Amino acid sequence: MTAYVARRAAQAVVLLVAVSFVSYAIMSAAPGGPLAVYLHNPEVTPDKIDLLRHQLGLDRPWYARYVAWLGGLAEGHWGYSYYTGRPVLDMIGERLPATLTLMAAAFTLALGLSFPIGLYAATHKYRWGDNLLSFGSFFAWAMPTFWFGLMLQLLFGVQLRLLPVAGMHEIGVTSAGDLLRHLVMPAMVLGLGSIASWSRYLRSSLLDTLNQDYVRTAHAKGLPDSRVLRRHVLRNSLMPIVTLMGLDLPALFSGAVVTESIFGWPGMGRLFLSALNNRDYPLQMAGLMISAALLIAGNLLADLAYAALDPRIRYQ
Amino acid sequence: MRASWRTAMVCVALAALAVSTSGVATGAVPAGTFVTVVSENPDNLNPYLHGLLASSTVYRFVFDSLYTLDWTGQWKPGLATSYAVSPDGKTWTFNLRPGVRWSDGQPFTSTDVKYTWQFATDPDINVTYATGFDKIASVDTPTPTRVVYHLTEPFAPFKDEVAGAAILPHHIFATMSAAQINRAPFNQRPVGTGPFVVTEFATDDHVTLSANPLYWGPKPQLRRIVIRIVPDQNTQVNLMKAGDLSLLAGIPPARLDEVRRTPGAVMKRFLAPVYELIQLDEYGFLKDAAVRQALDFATPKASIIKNIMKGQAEPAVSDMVPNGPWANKSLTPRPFDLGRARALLQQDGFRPGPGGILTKNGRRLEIPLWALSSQQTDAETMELIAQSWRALGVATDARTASAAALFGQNGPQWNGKDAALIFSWGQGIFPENKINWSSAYIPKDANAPGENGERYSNPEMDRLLAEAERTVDDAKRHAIYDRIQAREHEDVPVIFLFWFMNNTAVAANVRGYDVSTFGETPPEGWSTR
Repeated sequence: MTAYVARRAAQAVVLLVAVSFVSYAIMSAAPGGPLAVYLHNPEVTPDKIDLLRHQLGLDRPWYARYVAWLGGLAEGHWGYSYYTGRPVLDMIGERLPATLTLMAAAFTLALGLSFPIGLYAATHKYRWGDNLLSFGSFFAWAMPTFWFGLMLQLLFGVQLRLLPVAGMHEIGVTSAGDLLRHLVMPAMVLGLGSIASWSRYLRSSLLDTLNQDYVRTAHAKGLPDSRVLRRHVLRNSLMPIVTLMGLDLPALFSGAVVTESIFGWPGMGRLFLSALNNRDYPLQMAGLMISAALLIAGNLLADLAYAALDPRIRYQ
Repeated sequence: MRASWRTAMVCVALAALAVSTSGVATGAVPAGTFVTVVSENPDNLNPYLHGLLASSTVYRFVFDSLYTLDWTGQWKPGLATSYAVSPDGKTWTFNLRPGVRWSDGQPFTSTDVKYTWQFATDPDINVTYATGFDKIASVDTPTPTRVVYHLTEPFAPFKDEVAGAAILPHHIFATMSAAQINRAPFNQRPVGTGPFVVTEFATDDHVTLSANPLYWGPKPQLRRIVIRIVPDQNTQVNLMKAGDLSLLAGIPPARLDEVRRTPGAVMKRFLAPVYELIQLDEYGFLKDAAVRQALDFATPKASIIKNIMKGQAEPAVSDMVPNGPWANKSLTPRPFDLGRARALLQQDGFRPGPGGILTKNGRRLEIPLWALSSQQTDAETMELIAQSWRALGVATDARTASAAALFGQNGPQWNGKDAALIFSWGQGIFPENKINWSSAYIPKDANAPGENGERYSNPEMDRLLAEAERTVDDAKRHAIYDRIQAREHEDVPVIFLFWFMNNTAVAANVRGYDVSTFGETPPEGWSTR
């Protein structure tokens, strides 16, 4: 097991270096660049742009900049943002807690809602409750995140005045209750896609398992329904959901880009969105590397969870 | 198990209810606090180092200049109390306000003024905003309250560009290297002489400014100004409607009616010194002024203002804001007239070819239109213009791209073909427009910057622009800028579409706030009940 994880980690490092190379190359080949923001600004004169190009090292070829960037990363330096002049690591550190809070809340919400929904739908197959939930899931899937977020704001923030429209705290307030109030809508919006997909997968997986011989045997033994469901059906239906959860980890991270923008949530998603818009290469690379690492980690976690759920699986 | 599920659900529901009803009701801005919003995290609060507009929205409360253009368009003394210009226009002397202190308690003197020039011209500091400082040969500081600028040549924009620029504290930077300055904590927590001081900077969330007790002017009425950072424009409107903001500037036309209905909100409407234009990249047929004039006739400006801008715009005829002092009032926009456009092109030798496309010497008149993908109204404007140009017989494709792709290297500006780009621009309320029209500012290659992306070149225009820069006498300068605008209208280097109307909502409890094309009332006079 330990040897397996170590080998996967070593592969991950090689993969990440490859990802970084490809990303850096594509990023540099794209039209425009970090100075395009200034090119489109009437108050910044051409000679200033020329000087900035030199000061930021943008007059060097991209592969030279890549090697310098990778060398810095190996020593633990993530570089400085072109715009703020601040260390990239500091800027990420400031936003990390907000994003982790939002991701954890969305994950918990998705976990807490998708299981009861999936269970209910599977045990009430083709009845009106199941049909309603199916419709709801597809509707939620098809709905654009930003639109759903704005509608929630109008209803709960503007009409009912129950929840704050945006932000993480009221000005000058830092209590946990205040944070929770601000968290409700963004977590709902970020978690909605997962709730919809997880509950659908769980439903179909449960339906497969419910038709198995051993389930009929369990019923025949006279076991109570709840025990059959919990012990024999649910546990055996978890495999596809666990894979999905592992893969949803990076999706939650990238989904946070939109959710954070809509709700003015001070997290990393917004940081990387503006880095992309402004072509702030050092920040942009940090964002790409983090989401690539999350993707790899999510896959690894899913693989490990398999072994925990299914004793037949052995890692060599 | 069923029962435990049910209990759990009830608990969750109760918790949610408790959370949503606990604490203060939303939508309450405390008295003495003024809350507004910007779209981006301010990147750098040093006025000379910032890249984003959001930064100037914050630092304008913190810094002062020698003279300030107030919201009625008049120059008012700031850190200087009086000034004199030598007859040759090359020596500018300022008397400074005595007794002014920086927000950290240090005295403000002529050393700070001289240092600001040295800062702005230091080639190792990442300066983005500093024009005019390169015309300064030397600065004398005969006394702590007197500064004398010696210029290399007469330079009319000196007041706009240097006397109106923020003054930096010498004592903060005196011991720092350029590299340290580029990454100084000052860039997030600046020290200024203005009415407010940055007391909290919660990245991507808000910036809090508190009243500066050492401010030299009238004591600020507000205790604090909070600038929230919310990227989504629709969310900003929702915040205003929920009563979370004291001020929301630049409301999108599509949501204007909705905001107007918000109880208590007062609407302020003014012309922003920003215009929408079509840049005509002069490579082939677009080098010909007759073609550019014909396209101007074929552009339905009135229809764009009515249907796309919902009336929140005014027709443009030159690059000087129409309600400002520099606009040439004798010019009128070309009317929308496909007949005259067609006649002009026919005189020029164009004949309808296959598919009705105009051709000359066997070549089709092909002009693709481009707009910024991030600007919904730009894209709609482009579609309307494309239809009209096609009706004239121009082969016009309509495409959108990001700002980086549109203006950066490898973009449509660099492919060596005629192209028309739609975007907004403006040199503000000042007339200096040399970087737009002078042939010296035509970019040499895709990596060389230059604001004259349309590659417009006219020796007479170059001469007028140089003369305007040297002419310190106001009346003569006005006459030159009138001729420059007449040239713009005749040569059509770009098609001027319209000036943007800015709609700002102000909460009912705000007093002392007003805004015009030239700016806002001084923030020390704002208050909230």
